[in-house]
Amino acid sequence: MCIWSKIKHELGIWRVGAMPGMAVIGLVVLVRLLGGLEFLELVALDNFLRWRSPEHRDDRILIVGINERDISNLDSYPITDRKLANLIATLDRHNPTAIGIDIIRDKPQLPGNTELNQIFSQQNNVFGIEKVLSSSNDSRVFKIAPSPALPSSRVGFVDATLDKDGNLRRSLLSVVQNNELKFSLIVKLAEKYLKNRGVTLENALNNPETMQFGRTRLTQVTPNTGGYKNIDAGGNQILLNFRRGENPFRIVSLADIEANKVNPDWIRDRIVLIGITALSVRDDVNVGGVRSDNPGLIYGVEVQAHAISQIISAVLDDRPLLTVWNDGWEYLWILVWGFLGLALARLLSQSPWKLLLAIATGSLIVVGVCYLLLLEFALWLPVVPSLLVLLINGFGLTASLFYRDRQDLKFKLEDRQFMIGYMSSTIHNRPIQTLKKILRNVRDLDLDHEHLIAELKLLDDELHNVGELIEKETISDGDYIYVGNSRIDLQCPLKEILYQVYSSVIILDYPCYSTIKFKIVKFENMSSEGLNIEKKRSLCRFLEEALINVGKYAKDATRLKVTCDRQDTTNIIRIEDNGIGIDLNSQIAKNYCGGTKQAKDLAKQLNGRFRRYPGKKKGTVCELIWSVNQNWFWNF
Amino acid sequence: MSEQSSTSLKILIIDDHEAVIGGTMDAIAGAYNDAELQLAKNAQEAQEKLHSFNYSLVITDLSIPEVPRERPKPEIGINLLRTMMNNYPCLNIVVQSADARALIRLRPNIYEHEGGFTVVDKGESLQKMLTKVDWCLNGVNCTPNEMRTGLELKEEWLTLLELAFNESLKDKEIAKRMSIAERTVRHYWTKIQDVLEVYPEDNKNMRIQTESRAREVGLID
Repeated sequence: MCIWSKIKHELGIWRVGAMPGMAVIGLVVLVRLLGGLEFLELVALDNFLRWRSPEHRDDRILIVGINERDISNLDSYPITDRKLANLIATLDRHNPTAIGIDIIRDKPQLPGNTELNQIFSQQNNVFGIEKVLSSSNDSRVFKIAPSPALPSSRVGFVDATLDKDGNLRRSLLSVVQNNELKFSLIVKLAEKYLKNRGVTLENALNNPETMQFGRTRLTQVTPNTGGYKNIDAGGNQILLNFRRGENPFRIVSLADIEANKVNPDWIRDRIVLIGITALSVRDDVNVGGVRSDNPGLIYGVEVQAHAISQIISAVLDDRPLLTVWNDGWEYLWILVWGFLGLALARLLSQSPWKLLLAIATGSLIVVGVCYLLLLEFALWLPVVPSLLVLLINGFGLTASLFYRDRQDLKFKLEDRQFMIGYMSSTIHNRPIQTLKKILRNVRDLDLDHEHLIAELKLLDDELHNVGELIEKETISDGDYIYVGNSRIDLQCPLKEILYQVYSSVIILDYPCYSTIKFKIVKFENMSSEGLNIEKKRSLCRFLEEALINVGKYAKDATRLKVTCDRQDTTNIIRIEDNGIGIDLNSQIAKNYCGGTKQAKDLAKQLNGRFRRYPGKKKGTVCELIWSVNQNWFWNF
Repeated sequence: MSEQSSTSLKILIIDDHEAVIGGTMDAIAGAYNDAELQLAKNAQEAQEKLHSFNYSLVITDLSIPEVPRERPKPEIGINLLRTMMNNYPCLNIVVQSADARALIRLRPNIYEHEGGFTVVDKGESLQKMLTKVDWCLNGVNCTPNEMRTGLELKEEWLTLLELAFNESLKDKEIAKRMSIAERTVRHYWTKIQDVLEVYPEDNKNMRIQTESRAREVGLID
């Protein structure tokens, strides 16, 4: 019963409190769905990829980079067909598995075209390139044909699919053009290399669009993969899991080859990629996910190496390919972190500083977990949205708690203020009156011994009572309030709390209570929604003050009507008497003012209204009304 | 004592003091020899029994434990009463208590409760207790002075007095005028009679007593 009621109480708080948190989660999800977080998520991915510790160099790929010095040593540029033919012949002497020539050769570069064409047409392990994509208006991107001497089986395209921010994060494997399936250089070279090792390229059984080498599936990118929103996922693309480290591949120069400075073992049974590694010839790509000496920029031929390496490493070394969860799991993940933020805020709602620390720790954990999963399993998780919901829910609530704390303190201070006033008036009304009476008797020498003892005894009692009152007030046991001679549990239903306030005040001996013949009461289903202990305390003080005012000022009142009720969505506390009423300009009205200010403050806190006005025939009406379940959003 | 048909009488006694249980049970069994008496020694057991059976009357102590072997506390009795009045608005309830002031907070609930509701002081004689049990079974409300803060009533009751005594209407017509059920009118009467401390006495007409008391204290002119 006890645990159950605690759970019920907790659920009640969550039902109200979780609303803004759920709204935050919903909003973040919405922004993500609309693509508002794509940029941040991609930047986060780049950073995570860059942070990773280096892997060992992939020696299965050798890059022959024609660099700035090689170009300056050439008689002419582009490199001539003869020069290229000689290079290929030299490399081929050491039996590479495949040679990929990442250099455009759609037109002959004389001299030596015959020699090159001979190599192209006869050597099975030589692969050339083409560009197959063109922009619709043919302005920026053009198709470029392969060398006519190459059979189409040894031609692969080198087109890249860049993200909106200009960075390369995906690798295009194949496209269908004019009903013809074309493969990229990456696929051609990887296929050749893996075939030599007994692994063939197939279509995945359950999805013919997906390529599969042995057991390794190359899962296609969709328009909304991971943090992407509505990208052009045309053709068959996969995410690029760049090889980590500053020197992921061995790169030698044309000069190194010509000077015979290259160890034949670096070439034998490997993939050799020939490309340009000079900035003067534009073949570079923006990448955020790779550490390089020229931050954010690597050569095209290196990109090819990364893309080939990730496929053959996945097949031969079980190196993971970059993967994502499907959308459902991603949003569940975000939801979990959002709820964690809420739960922390709820759990630590009493100590904002601890909450701050917990949220900071929680954030580190999200980032850490996402990073480790990327490092170990190449899993790309939505770190940005999860971090956002955690932070907003956590910190948002922290802020509101700080605010609430301050409000509670204000209410407590007001309550203390009221009690001090109340004590002082108690001292004035009782012990001091008695003392004066005794003094007068003493002065008048009207000294009846018995009578004096009785009076002094009364004084003793009265002082004792005041002492007790002060003691009660100073022991601050949180959820109780002392009214008259009763201690009222503020955890009770509101109507019971208020009834106890009423019944405790109405029996005190205020002058105007004596004429009241009967009371008409209505204490019914009041809603305590949105009321914390401090607000309940203030409501009690409000009712107490209003009833005491009747006792002090409602002269000749014969009936008192007290209504504490809920009508639809409005809570009402109304106190009506039929006394002589108060002149709003009189001294009495001014005496009301202290209480009036507090009542107005309270009304403001409750988003409600406080009024004091003359009754229909006579008397005074004092009324506080506020609407329930309107400000659930701010009440957590 | 009125002739209450005892054949279908099902009574639940909620108490954890062996001595009191014995005394109460013997007295009740003696007065209602066909009644079926059941006992609950804590709030939890009481709730379970109330859930499973249809009782005509519940006699409860205020200071009871929540579960077996726990310390009995008046708050638990208060909570149980609140739950009973919420869930079984027509249940007849007799409360045994050493200090009825603890019941003050339930006043608003008692005002709305439609069944009989009487409070027996533990110091009162068994005979007096049996009388209050009998009253309760007849829907009478009887609360002690410690629970009162002078004359206090609801607006509807005042209307009822006005219609009944100044316009001399019958209950049926009053119900029509006030747009309430006749049963509710009877329920109001029991409340008013408790306020005015008019209780059943042999050979006395309660309505007439009520009228004269109401005029006496100035509820009606």
